[in-house]
Amino acid sequence: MSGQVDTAPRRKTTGKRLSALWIFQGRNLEAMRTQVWQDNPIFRQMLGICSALAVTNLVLNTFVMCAGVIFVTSFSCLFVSLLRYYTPRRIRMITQVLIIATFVIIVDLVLKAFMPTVSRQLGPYVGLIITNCIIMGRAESFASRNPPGISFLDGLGAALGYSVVLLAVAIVREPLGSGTIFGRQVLGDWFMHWQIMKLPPGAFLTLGVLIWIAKYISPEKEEEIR
Amino acid sequence: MREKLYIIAFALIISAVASIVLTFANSVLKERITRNRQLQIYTSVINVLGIEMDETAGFKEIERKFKEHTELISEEKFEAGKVKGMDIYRGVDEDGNTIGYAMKISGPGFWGPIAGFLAVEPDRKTIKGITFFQYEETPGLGGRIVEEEFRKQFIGKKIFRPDSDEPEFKLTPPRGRMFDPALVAKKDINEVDAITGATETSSALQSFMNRGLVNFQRIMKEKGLEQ
Repeated sequence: MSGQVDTAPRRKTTGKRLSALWIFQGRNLEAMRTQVWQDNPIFRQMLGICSALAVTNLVLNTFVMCAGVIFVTSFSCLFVSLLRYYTPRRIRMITQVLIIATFVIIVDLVLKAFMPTVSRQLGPYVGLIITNCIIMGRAESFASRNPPGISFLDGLGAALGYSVVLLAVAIVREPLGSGTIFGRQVLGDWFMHWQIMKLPPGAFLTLGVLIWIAKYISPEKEEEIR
Repeated sequence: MREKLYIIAFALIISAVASIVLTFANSVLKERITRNRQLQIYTSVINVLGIEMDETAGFKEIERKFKEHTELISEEKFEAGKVKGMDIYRGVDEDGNTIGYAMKISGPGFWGPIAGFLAVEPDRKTIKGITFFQYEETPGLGGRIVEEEFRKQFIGKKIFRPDSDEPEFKLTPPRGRMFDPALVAKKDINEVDAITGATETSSALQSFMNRGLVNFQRIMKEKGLEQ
């Protein structure tokens, strides 16, 4: 054991061939689908709530935020997975954060260059993607011990699951809070804006109702308490 | 020993790769980002001075309009790590008459720096408008400083207390519905509504705004500009 560097255990890879239908092979699609629905990060795991409350007051902002999270999560998972045999166990978390942070800064720069208004409105929340537990969670629990392809899809699925919920919240909040959707007027002047929907508590209420609906549609199998 | 060396080497290499990637991304996008920032300043000054501007105008046109209608009469300088002076633009109309002054106000907000422009009428007492081009305040709370409802209440207010000539401006708790024009009008001549739920942002804004106003008066006096 002495002199041996402690990294993720290597498995023997069977000579699998890549094909165009690779996504349908094995557990690939399954991994993604689980993340979107059964294990949805927000509905089921209650992760990423902070940004879900903060950026969902306008649909456009939410949309951009979700695109950023999808990019960061899937590529971070891909790189964490590619480096899994070379990453020393002791500094794996720091390595993951470094990879995530790199992608987040790229997203931040691109937004500043091409969508300055949205970037200003999102304020600190783009930078705070770094601390989004969903990404760290997937990187540590899945990508650090699975092959790159499936890790990418797993990350993509988690981010999509997050995005679906955020967009759902935003689509409820923007009309009620500002009378608009994507900045376009949908409710007339007669409509009294719900001030609370513009504020984080509005998101909290909306999210609560959505989680209730989601649990009603597909109840979680609760484990028996012995 | 070998493991320790490996860990150090790995950390160094991966940090170096990340730095190279980010430096590259930054150098590619830097020009655009600087241009956006420039554009923000142009449009902020143009808007706050109430100069008419086509909303669909491109960068070139906005820049031309800005150069035509504003004149930088004072500039902030960095001396020994401190900001000295302030950016003040004099707005002029087609015939060269002064239509107001726009001063850059900035200071620390709740999450990060806030910067914007405050414009006063040629009398240097009445507020013409306020706008922000940089802020990182909480969306929906402190972030509301950029909303029109909030900014509108400043227009027509004075930067002095009714009975004094030391600049002083206050953001005080609303007396009913926040930003209601009728209620704001009943407040003192140098008072507007603060944002409920964003006390830190409001008081930060009040303090650096007052600092800016004092600076503005001093600079204008030094320059001996006639009222």
